[in-house]
Amino acid sequence: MKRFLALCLGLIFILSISGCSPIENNLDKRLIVQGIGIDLDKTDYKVTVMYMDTANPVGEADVKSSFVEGSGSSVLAALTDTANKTGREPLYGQCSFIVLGGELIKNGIAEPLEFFTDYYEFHPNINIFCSENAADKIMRADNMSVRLMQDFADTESSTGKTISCTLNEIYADLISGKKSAVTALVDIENKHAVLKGAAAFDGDKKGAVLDSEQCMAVLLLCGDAKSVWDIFPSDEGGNINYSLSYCKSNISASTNEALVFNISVNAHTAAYGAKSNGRLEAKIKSRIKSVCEDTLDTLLKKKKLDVFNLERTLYKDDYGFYKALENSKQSVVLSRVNVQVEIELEK
Amino acid sequence: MGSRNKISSSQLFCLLLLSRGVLSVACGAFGGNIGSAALSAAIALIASILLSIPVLYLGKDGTAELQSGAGRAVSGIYAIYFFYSVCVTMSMFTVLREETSGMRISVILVPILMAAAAVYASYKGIEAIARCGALILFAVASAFVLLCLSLIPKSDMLNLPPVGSYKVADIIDNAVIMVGEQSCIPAILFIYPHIKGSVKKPTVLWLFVLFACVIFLSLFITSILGDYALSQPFPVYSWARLSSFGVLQRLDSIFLAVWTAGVFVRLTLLLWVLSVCIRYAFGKKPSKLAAPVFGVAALITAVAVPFNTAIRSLVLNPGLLLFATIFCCLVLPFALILKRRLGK
Repeated sequence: MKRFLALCLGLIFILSISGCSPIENNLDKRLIVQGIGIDLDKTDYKVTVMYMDTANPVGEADVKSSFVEGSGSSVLAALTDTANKTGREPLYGQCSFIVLGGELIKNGIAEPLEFFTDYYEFHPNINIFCSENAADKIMRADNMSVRLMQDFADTESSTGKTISCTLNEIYADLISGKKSAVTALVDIENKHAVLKGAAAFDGDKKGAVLDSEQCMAVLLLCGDAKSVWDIFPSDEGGNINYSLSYCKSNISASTNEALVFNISVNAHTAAYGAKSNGRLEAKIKSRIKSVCEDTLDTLLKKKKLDVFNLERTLYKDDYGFYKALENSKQSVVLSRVNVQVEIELEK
Repeated sequence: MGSRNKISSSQLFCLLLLSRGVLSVACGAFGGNIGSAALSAAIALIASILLSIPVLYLGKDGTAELQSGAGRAVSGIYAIYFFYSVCVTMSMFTVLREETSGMRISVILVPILMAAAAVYASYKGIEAIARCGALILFAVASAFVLLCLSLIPKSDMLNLPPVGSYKVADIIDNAVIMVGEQSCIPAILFIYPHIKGSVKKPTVLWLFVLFACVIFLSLFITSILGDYALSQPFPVYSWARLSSFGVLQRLDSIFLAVWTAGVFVRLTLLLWVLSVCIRYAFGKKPSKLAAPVFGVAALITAVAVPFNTAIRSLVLNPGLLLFATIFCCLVLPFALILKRRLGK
């Protein structure tokens, strides 16, 4: 009797829980979403969904992808529209990136990101990109693939030419309000998607576009840089090409008389095509310092965007002082920021 | 009582740690805020030690008081409390499943299978439950170590809020939930006669290890999720979703698997304790039916929780749970101590 009951229980498990037994759940009947582009068309959201072509899965180089568009008054309505058009049940668990279009980043990204945060199928580590162009154009670029977008996201750690961001990171910045959200910016050139630095947000709206040098500076100042490549003209003619690794930064807030932030950046440097000597080290140091100071001046002083974790550092290090501030954002913008760079040049 | 119904002190420790630990992982069901959970855990540790004193004082002889005269009525009250605890556990299971997988998998089938397995396992006795618990605890601990290791690079100390920014209301809310979930403390009273060796040492060690883990995890999770945790109904699950190890992605499936196994052990233990309560209150025959009858009742309640707000707010009510736990940890044991004294 016991064995019979155990067998029945086992059969229930095998037949009802695992596998894709119902025909409607077969993979070729599912809309396996790989990426989503979102545009704002007046008051409606327009989504471009890139999905795995399961009917004809093997392409020339990669898994073949197809596209479908949908629109609606909310992101969910627009996504439902795409599913209705294909007649397939969507599977969002495989979605690996989201592109936010130009109109959307101008008008505010909080609402769509809130949807992706709340909807259980979307993973929090989805890469978020934005564009000054329509997201639809980016999605339909000739070179568009999941691999390309992952390579774009990995550019932050390989060269420091962008600042990539995942859904949980950007959403945490948006709801905390203590740091301007930043995410990688993609553009379209000759029908090809290309990386163009990053975009910083003022609240949930686009505040500034960061070029690759500014991205490098932000990463160095925040201590998020892993490997950085840079090139700059030498006063002796030619260019100095160098890379930074083991980058670390330390931000401290001093509140004795006026609010002062001291940022020290430390890194190992390797120079290419130039003789390693004391002057070269000084030149690289001066280059990093000037890029960091220019970026601070442009983003913090002129654009009033704190992408450097200054307010968060003050909040953590001296909560009493922070709490007493009437306008913490304004105080951080008006503060003095000292940058100190220490590098160790490989001989 | 045969040797098959005896467990060692270390098995008791494993059983208590696993049974209580699985609830901490699903704390979001009650709406707790993980940001200040470390401080709440310190308060809950002190409160839990105080709550366990009367139960430990009653000791092995406490069960004798429960089987005669007015003690039978007390056993009946304990049975209701453990039934409530089974309902809470089953409800958390369905709510977390609802949040993590929507309703794609049948809302009824999985809890039915879980309840059926737990009812069957509860008949196997405390020794079998303890052996299973030790194995599953090892799996749970290994999974958490793996998740923690994979997530260390993502932690950022700036995400930890300064202690001054903690809200007193949040600290109290979390502490209420943490103490309310301590149904394992009154359960010790019924497990006591089945333990070979010391009970006090593993109980105190359990409380310290449990809350040390809660403090560590809450700080670690906050350092990774930052304010994102505030937007998540189950921050621990959201934390697990971020994990990856090289080519291994989406390790949250490991989390769900071991958590489900942990819930199974907790349910089994509670159903076994419940049947012991019924045996003390009404005799041997009714106790044999206790596990399936209460298991089905809890199953119906748990399945209704995702669909009915009134039932949800009644079952997953931190205030009610705290009251019930304090009543069963303090008032009832004191009544038993009084009964013993008067009896002498």
